[in-house]
Amino acid sequence: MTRKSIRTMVVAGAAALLIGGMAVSPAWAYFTDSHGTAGGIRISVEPKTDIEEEFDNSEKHVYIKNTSYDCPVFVRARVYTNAPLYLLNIAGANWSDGGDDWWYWNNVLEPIDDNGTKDDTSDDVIHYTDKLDVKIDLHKTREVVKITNADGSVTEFTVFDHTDENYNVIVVYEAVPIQFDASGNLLNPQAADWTMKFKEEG
Amino acid sequence: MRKFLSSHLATLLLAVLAAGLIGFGGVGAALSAPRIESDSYGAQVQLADISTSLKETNAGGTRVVAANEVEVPLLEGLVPDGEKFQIGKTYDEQLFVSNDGTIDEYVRVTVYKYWVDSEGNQIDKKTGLDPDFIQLEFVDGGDWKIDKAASTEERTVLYYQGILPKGGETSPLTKSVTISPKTLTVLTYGKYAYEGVTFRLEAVVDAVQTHNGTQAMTGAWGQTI
Repeated sequence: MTRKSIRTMVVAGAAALLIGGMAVSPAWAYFTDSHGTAGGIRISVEPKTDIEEEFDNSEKHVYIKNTSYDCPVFVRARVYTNAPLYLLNIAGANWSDGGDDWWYWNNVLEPIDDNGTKDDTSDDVIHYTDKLDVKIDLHKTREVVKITNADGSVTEFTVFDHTDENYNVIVVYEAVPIQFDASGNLLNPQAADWTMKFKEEG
Repeated sequence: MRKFLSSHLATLLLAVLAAGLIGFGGVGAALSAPRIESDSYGAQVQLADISTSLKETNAGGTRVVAANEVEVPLLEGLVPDGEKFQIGKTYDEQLFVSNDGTIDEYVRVTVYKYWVDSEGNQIDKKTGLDPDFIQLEFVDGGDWKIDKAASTEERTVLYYQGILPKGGETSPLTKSVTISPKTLTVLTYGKYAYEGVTFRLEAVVDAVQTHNGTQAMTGAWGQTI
């Protein structure tokens, strides 16, 4: 076959392909439609909290605030002291004695915002816990007085000295992110898991 | 004959013939103008139009989130007004599809879930954040079926089991979303791994004609429902 005849056949073939292609291309088209979108929500998991204390007349007043970005928490507190003999009085609105040496604040402590103060509840967001009052009444034994009664019996009286002593009162508190039961209901703070096991990665 | 085919004249004739055929194919319609004009009658022609919308229902109500010239961020109404998003709490999040076109259609939806950092960079499981902690509850069975072969930890592909007629709506393909409380207890080098990150959902709806449906689905999606 000569080069000319090959060229002739190539030209003819190209023409046939072009014509054929024009005829069948519409069969490859289908009606389709596609749309998409996305969105997200930022989360905060670090329960950053802080404590503020005021002290007057042998009484400590404690507030706990939530300084996290957006992590609501439960809060509980307990008191330690090295006072020799004492009577410990702990009380506060919305604070409950858990019977395990911890006092639980009954509400959800919401994150503080830039303008929040413990006196500011204008936006109905609680930034601080209620005040927890901790009072130590010292009862140091100074002298035991014995009195002989008319019938010969002896009655002992203990005289306490209420002088100032150096002692420490330490308030320890904990916070955990709020938790829900399997049905999605908010747990009572006393029922929450306060012993979360952390998993270290990396 | 062989001599003729090998001549310059034959080459030239075939080239002219090829050009003529191509040209004729392009202008053929113009040559078919009517020679006798009939009375004119009015008529409406309805062109086939395929059009699909992705819709979302949650605490904020129901809205179109993806359609022609519409793209609204997902999850905007997830948290009821006056509340903050809570980890461990289950929120209603229903996605469904409506057929707004003039023809019936088959539909599928692909949903992605993943974490992004504060700069918007996606963080996958290999780099530390687990998409399984984004617990999106799907409907698998009934109207919707998950294509497990095409799904991954981050991607779920669902096919609507039937024809979505024009003007119709599907049942929801998702029910709810929960962020696992496990996010609270993962530390990386002593820092909370999930602090300040964003969980993100992405949804894409695809529709294809039902006429010659098998071929259409295969051509558009590579498979049938």
